[in-house]
Amino acid sequence: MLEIILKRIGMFILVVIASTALVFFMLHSLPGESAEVMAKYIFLGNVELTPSNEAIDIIKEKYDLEKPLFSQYVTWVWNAIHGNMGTSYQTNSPVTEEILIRLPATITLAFVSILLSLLIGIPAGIIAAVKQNSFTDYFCSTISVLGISIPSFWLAILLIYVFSYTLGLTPTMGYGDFKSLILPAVSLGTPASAVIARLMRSSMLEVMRQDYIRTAIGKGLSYRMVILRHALKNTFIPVITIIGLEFGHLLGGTVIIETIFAWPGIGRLLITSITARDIPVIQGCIVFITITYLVINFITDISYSYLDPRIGRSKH
Amino acid sequence: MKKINFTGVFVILILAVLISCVAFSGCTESPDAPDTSENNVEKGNSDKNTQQELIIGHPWNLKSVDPGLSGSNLNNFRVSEGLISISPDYKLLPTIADSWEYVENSTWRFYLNKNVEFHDGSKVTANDVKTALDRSMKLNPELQGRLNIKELKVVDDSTVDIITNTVDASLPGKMAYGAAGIYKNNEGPEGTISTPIGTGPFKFVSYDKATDTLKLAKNENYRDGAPKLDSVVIIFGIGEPNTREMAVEKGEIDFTTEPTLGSTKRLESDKNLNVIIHPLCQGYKLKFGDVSKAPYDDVRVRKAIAYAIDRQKIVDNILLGRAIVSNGIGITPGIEWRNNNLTGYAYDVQKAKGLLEEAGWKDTDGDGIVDKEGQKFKITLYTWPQRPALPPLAQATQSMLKDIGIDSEVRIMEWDAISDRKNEWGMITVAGGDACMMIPDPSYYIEGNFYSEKNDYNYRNPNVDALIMKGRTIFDKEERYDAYREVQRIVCDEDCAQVHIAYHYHMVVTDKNVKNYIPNPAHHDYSINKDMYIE
Repeated sequence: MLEIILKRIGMFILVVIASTALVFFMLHSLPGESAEVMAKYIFLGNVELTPSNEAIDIIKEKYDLEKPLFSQYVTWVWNAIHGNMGTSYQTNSPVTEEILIRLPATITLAFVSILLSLLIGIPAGIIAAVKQNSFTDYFCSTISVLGISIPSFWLAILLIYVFSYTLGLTPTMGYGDFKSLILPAVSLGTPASAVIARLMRSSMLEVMRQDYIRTAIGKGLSYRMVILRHALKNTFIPVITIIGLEFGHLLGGTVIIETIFAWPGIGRLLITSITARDIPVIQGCIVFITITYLVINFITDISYSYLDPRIGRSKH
Repeated sequence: MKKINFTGVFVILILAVLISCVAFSGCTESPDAPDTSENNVEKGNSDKNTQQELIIGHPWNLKSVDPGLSGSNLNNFRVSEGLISISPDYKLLPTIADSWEYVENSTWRFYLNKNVEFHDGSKVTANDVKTALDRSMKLNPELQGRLNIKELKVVDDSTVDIITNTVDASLPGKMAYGAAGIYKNNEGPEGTISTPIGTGPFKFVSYDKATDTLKLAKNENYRDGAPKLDSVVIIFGIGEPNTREMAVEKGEIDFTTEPTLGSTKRLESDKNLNVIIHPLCQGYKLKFGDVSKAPYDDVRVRKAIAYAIDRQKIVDNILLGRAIVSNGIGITPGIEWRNNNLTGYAYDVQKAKGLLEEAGWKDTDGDGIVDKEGQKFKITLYTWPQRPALPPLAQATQSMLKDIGIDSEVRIMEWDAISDRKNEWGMITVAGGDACMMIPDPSYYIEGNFYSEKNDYNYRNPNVDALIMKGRTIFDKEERYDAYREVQRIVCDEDCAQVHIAYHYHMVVTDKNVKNYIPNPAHHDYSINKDMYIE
């Protein structure tokens, strides 16, 4: 176990360095001169105004934009290693603070959305598989195809229209209490649940064809017992991968839904920072998202060996 | 087959959802965040005569409450004020400064109003003015570049001298710029201000960064009388116009701005809402990529394009009444220094075709597209998606240019990507925004758009440059404005440097009980005032 963890930590560092370097150099290949873009967003607050040449020169000097890219990157890494992620160009406050204040909102939304998708997706997938080719199966499959195909922004606006505007049950936007969490979570959870349901169904069907299931049924176990004790655990292996990925995706931020519901999450922070070329914040978000993915992957891998001990054994 | 009972699985998952919701909502609730969802329930019945609270939904982000960085926002929400402010009819109003005069040697002297107090009760002194402006210029290089200030000198407690880098007649207008507000310097050890103290009718209460929500309370001691509203809550960063519309229709917010163009009629017919459409000093125009290069180095080509645009059609069908026609220049009617005697370019396809032919552009191969020396007139119209009216405006322009034999393609991309394409042959930017009163002085718009050293499309006219220089250095108001009016005549009627299309009208939607909102076209995009109240 220790060996795995050490290996993982080594990989963590490599992946973080690679991804931040990639993002850093890609940012500089974006159209528009960085100093001009920064002047516009940071000091004019309006993209349609043209900043003065003096302002652009001052910004270049203030933020060392004239230095070679590589040395700018090395400086950033050096500071980051020493725990200094820099300060936001736009707000002058530390990057860690910018990310931390958005963390609760991001985690809440991601967590509730993923739970919701499990709540719908797993039973739907199981029922569809158990009652293969029945009306229930077609019904679940149709719904899940719809769930995958409906764009989440459209679903979000539709939900606001029905539940907030017409019925007045939930607030149209905002953040802070349980009610305002419902619509964003449903908008995000629906597509995820559809993906999970489909995968669950196909995986379940696969497992149900295995010899050990036939044996279990043959030895007289109740059908329910067979599904819950024998089939479910094995069904979960591919599904857990997708759940991990979906969860990572949700934690990394869901820009469109966050924008529609004015939800203060990481996604919105990242996008506004990219448009404003707020490089320290962008880098901070990338580090956060990378680490989140890696941690989730790690947990996913561990859960594999719990679900199927053979996987763990063959690995080390 | 036996039926399966999944009740157990369901119950566990439901419990998990509930527990996590309760746990998270408990730990994330911030004490400063306004409970908007609670408010709306009672709002509908408008039975809240005890507390006058106005809730505003704002499209953009605030990001910071430091007046050195967010001066314009704090000014519009009336927390801070400048030495001078701008009235809805474009006059400079004495605010923190009572009066001002040009002394000599690039020095302007400002005499402060001795009755102006900060929210903490202390008097505003010349030293406060110097500290605030010095600090803002240091934090905001853009402001430093624009103000052109060399030094501030305290003469006595209530007199301050501002010395400019060069002789500069535009300085008083610049002092009305939102970012040049005066505030108390109470910055913390890390160099930022987290509780701004200004002089305006509303006091800062709290700012919740996570929800981008600013809370203000009335300043009881405001020198012109306390505001009628007890408190104002501004929820920033509601970027999605549909969300803002539904929130105001439902009564979750009382006041919002710029809904989608298509919903104007629907909102106007809603009996619970007030819709206010008023001019804002912005416009729509076509901007040539480079007027020093073919095909736009020929003024006849530029004029042909100006004549080809049916502006009335655009205003009626695309801007849906939220604009008025302009065939002259981007300075909003009513502004003192505007030249009201421009001939302009009224829609005339025959004239446009004639001018193109005169310039040598003829359709020699009968394909409907004019050409010259083997080059077809094929261009790209660039525009950006953030302003909903722009893409359809570009498409309308495309079809109007087609009528005079110019073939164009519309491409929608980010602003910064467009500025990389300025050198493309024949490119035109279909632009919106184009603020002309950001700083209430003629130099702001005219220098930025037409001065050789400042414009970004290579427009060069020595006569215009000379007049602009004159405008900077003479102090007689009428003479100065005349110089700028002459510039407008040259750039519009003679040179057709840009093709202006329409003046923008801004739309504010409020709950019907919100009274006394006074639009100020010079403010971007709106501001509140102390006489507003909720009925």
